[in-house]
Amino acid sequence: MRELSFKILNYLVFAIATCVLAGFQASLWYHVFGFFPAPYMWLAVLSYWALYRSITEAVIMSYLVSFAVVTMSGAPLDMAFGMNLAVLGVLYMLRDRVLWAGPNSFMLACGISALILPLATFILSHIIEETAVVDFHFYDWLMRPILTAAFSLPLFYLFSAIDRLTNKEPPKHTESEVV
Amino acid sequence: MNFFNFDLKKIFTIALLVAIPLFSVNMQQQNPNRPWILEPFYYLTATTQNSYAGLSSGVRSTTKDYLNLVDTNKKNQKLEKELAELKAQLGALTELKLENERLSRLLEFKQKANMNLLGARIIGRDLLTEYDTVTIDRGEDHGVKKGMGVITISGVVGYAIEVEAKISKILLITDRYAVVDGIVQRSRARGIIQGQSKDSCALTFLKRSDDVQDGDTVVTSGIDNYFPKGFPIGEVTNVKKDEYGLGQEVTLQPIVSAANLEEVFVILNANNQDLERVN
Repeated sequence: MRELSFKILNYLVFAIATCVLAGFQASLWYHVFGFFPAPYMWLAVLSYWALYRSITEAVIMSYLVSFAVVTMSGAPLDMAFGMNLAVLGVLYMLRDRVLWAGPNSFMLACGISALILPLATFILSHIIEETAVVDFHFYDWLMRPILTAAFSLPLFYLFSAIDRLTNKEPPKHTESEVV
Repeated sequence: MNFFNFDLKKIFTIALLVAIPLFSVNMQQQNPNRPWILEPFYYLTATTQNSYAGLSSGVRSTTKDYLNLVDTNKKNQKLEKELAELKAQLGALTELKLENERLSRLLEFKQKANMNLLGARIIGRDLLTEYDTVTIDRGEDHGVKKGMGVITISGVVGYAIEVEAKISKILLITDRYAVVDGIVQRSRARGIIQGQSKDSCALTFLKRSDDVQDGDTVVTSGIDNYFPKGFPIGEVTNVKKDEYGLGQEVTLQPIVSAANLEEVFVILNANNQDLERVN
């Protein structure tokens, strides 16, 4: 029972963290930097769960993240589900093949997910939406992964702390870690 | 004891000691000018004194300079701090001035317009680049309802698609999901404005025979009472007619750019106002 409570608490705290991070991106960044491309802060949660959780748990979290995203975006829910699952799928494929444990790998995963997201949105938009995306923002596409990766480093430690607080084993660091 | 037994050496020494001042006094009395023998002494004294004075003055000056420098450095730091503070204040004041001017224009517009307008501030933007929505700080509690139009002084911004108690999500007219009823101001050709990309919209459902030209202004039709009639939406930038077909492809550039948005108005009631008639 206690274990289940901690598990639910873990989901809950990460869902709240997603909303807080999305709010940071949508409001705080906008007030400070205007329309300069913002890092996909909420993607860090998805990346974290894709790397350090089972696929079932990660899919559940991707749905929770999608709910948070649609509240601060014009994207319909089906698109949000689709693009988050696409990002999750790519990260899950890379997880055991390319990526390793620790903050460096997490930063890389966040960068990759920020790179994948607009592509997934573009493709899915042409499949799902009646009025598909017509323009691809290359500058945004290049800038956002860099910013997302840069901002993900402190988030790794924050998420690890959340895991520790909610009795979940935080990700292990490997010897190859530089950061 | 031999009374006349003198120690000549002693006497000579005493005599010399007595004679020198006497001689000096005598020489001084005889010659009002400075005796030549003292010249080198004067010279030496003067040089030494001057040197000491110079050294002293130099040390004093250096010390003073150093102290001044320390003081100047402190003053400089203080002034730099003050300058930074003043610059910050100036920046804030300039920002306030601009905001004041902007708000004055908005207020003037609100007073002139015969509509029920609600001023709102943009507090957030869309999380995704592919969608164009903004969040405003006014919601259901302030009278905002789904579908209500959002404008600035210059033109149409979009309309509310989701309304919460304190905030609302506004779909900008450039979003792919946005549709607004509009007419070409010059020819009165009527169509539907649909969002296309960040800086363009399409005027659709126009007949092939409709008269539309580059540079035409497209305004709101006011048919739904969410927007006043005749309020600017955009300017025609491209008209394309296929060789065959029933319609034509018209591209617009919205008058309002989302990148410059700060304060907007939500139209609570357009009161069926016809701005073309007013103007």
